[in-house]
Amino acid sequence: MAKLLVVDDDKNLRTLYEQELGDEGFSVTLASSGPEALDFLKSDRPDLIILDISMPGMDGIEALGKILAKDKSMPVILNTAYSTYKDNFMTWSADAYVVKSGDLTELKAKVKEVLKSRGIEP
Amino acid sequence: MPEADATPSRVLVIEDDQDVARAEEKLLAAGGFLPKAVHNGAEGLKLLQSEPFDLLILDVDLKGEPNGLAIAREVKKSPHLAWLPIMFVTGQVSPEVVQQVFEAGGDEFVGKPYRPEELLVRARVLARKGREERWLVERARKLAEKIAERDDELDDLRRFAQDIVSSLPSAIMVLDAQRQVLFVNAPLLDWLKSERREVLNRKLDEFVREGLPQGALGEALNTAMQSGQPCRLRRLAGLFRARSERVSDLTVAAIDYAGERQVLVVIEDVTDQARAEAAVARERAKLNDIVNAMNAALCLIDRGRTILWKNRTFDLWFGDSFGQPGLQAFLSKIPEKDDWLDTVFGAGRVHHVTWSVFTVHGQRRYFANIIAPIQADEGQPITQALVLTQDVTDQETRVEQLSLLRELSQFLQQTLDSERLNHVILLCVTAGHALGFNRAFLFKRSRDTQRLEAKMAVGPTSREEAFRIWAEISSHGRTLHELVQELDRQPSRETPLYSMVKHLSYSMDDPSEIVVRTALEKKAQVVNAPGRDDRVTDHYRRTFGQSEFVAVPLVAKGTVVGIILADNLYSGRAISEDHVKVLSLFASQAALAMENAETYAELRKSMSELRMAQEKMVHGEKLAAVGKMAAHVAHEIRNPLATIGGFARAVLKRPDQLERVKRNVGIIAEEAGRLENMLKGVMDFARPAVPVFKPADLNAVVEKAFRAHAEPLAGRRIHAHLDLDHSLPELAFDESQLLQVLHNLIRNAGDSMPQGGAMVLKTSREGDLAMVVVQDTGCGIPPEVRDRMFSPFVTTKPDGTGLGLAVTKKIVDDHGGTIRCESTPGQGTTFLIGLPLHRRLTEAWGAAPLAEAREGTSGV
Repeated sequence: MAKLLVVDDDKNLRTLYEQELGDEGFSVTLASSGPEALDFLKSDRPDLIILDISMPGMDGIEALGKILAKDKSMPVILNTAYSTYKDNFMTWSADAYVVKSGDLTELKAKVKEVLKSRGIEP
Repeated sequence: MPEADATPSRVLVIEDDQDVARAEEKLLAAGGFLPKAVHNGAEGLKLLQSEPFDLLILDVDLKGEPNGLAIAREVKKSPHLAWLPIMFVTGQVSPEVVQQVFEAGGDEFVGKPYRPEELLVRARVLARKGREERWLVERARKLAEKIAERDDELDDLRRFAQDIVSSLPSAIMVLDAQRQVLFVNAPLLDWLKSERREVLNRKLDEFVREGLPQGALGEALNTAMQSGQPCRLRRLAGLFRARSERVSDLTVAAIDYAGERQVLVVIEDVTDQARAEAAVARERAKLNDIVNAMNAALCLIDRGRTILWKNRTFDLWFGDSFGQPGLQAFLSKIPEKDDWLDTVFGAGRVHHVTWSVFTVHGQRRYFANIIAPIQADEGQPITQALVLTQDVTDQETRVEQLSLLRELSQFLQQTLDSERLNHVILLCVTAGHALGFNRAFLFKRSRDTQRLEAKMAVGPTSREEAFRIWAEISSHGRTLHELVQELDRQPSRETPLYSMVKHLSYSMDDPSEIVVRTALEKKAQVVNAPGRDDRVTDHYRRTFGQSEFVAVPLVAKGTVVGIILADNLYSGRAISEDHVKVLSLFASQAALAMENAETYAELRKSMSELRMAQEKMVHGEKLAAVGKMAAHVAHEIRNPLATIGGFARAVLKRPDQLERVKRNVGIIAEEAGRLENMLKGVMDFARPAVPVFKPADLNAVVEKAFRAHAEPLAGRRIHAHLDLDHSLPELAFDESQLLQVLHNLIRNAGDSMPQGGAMVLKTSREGDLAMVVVQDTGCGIPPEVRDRMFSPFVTTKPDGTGLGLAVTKKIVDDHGGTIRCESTPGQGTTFLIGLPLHRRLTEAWGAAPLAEAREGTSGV
């Protein structure tokens, strides 16, 4: 059972991800901000991180840099309302970039795809 | 004879028989005498010469020479002893002897043997007589001695007086009542080159200059003769006919000699002194002429600034009486309480000072002054000072002219308001020294009507006013710069002189008017005597008077824009070529400035056109901004939409799991509410309502907002309270908009205190503003957010729209108010809103929403 870390400042969205990805059979951990996620990474290692970009304080891109600085092999999917961040070269270092949507099919597919490419059983 | 009985009479006895001598001595001593006996005649005579005796007793026959008779003769012959009584005592008693005895000068004869009593009685009588005689002789001798002494003194005095008279350089003569010469001394004879006999006993009138005996000399002689009062005649030219070139001083004094009054005349030859004096007087006159003629004022003052002496130039410049303004102006420049007094009178140093005053003729002139102490004697305090005043107006004028032209361009460049510019130009022409005309008029050529119209005039309207202003300027000494600054402070108003000429307007087609001709010929015109100059019309004379004037054209880029007319109506100062030159130079500068002002006015016109265009553009920009905002909103609603969609799908997928469905639908409802809220904010901002101002009680509105929030806040452990200033007057504002502002601020404050805290809503007055203050003890606003917190879509809240403060600011701006924020992270935030207490109801709100909308979106 793959372990996922969802980082998003929107509480309801976090609840949605927890419920839906849980249904898919993932073990889901939630973090409401970049620092909280980094704190979690000190003691645990998820198999994949779903990271929101637009967050108050430390945004997703800054968090991404810090996460990769610690563990270059950490799979990260950026998940944001803004498609414009795709142009930011920093986002290229993420494994995937998924625009937020009520339909989580794309996100779920990307999660599985990334895990598979890393040889992790979902 | 007081000593008669007091001392015994002294008796000399000359007896060759020693026994007899001793017996007689013994007898006499017993009888109360003081006898002395000698035994021969020579010894006796010798003793008589050296010692005083009252009586001599002689024996007729003596051994050796001389015998008694010879002694007696000798004694009686001697002038000193002739008085001495002689008594002969002898044994030869015969008539012959007795006869011989008395012939020899004896006074008594006693024959031997005698009775002792008889001898003593006779001796006593004789001795008394002798004693008396001796005293008399003694006194006579003493008196004679004294008289002899006096004679010597008199001789000395006489010699002394003669010495004085002969050694006196002064000539002396003594005249009697008939003016006959009784005495002359040697110097007088020398002077007259005459012998004494030629002068003595002649009348004075014969050898003095004609006319003198009847004139001053005669009067002096008569006065002395009659009253006894001495008289002096000074500097009498040509006293004696023989020496008419000499000048003399005379002293005439009366002397009374042996009951007769005579006149002593002492004559001193002062020809050389008189010449020297005349020379000094000539030199002094020459110096005085120079001092008076020199082109500098000189005066002598004392410590109290009293003018003790002044030269003619001083009078010319500052007047010669204290009532005149010139002199007062002069004194006002050397003030009583000033350092110069210490410098000059205290330290004895020279003081230099330059100032400008109006002279008696109403001309403003510059004077350089040197105040030098004058010390009467070494060590004495200085009581006087010499003030040398030089007119340095020409130098100063040149300096001022140069600086005027330099400063002018500055003044003129700063002045674009046409009316003010006209005023400044004429101030330059009239104030200060560079030009300093009494009056100046500015005519401007109108482009539309082709007429020269009076636009400004500067100067006094009457002679009285002129003098008053000059006196004022003299004492305050305002520079051109200050005058222009003063003009800046005052609201522009018509000068009285301008009121008198503002109706003047000349057609450019009428060259008979000098004003027009100056413009047409583009050349300065100087008219010295308008009264008889063909170039001047009667109209001009009536309007401007008949004093000399100058008219210069104002030419900018080859075109005449106007003319300046200037005169010295009150001071009458001549208009020099120099002044015309400077005025013309000045005019070209002024014309350029006028042209600039004109251009500026045009520029202003085109600017307002530009502004219209810009506003149109802004409208377009607003549309763009709305589009930008729509994009932002689109992004912003993606989160809630994704949440809603996600949970909706989840419900569809598992409709059977009721608990989950309930929770999911709850979240969907919540997110929908959030969307609605966001939309409301966007609508408020995107379609702002124009405020409707109505006078209302600000406190009441604040209280209303407070009531709406108090309860929910209390539930969140937030203690809120009101602090209202009830003295605030009613003011005009839009109540619903202000309520929205208050709701926004109160909500923000509440949100900043998730752990609870305190909140204050306060009203107060600050100058012209009514203040509303919302203060909390919350987390504060991070500094990086504070700069842009009023921009739309800036928020620190996870579910914030970022529109609350943007809308708040917009409403406050629409009210013409102010909003500012003080915040310390961790301690709290205070928002202060100021609303104008007095709203101008005429305020144009037409353009405001456009401008504000632009501002409101600029932060995006």
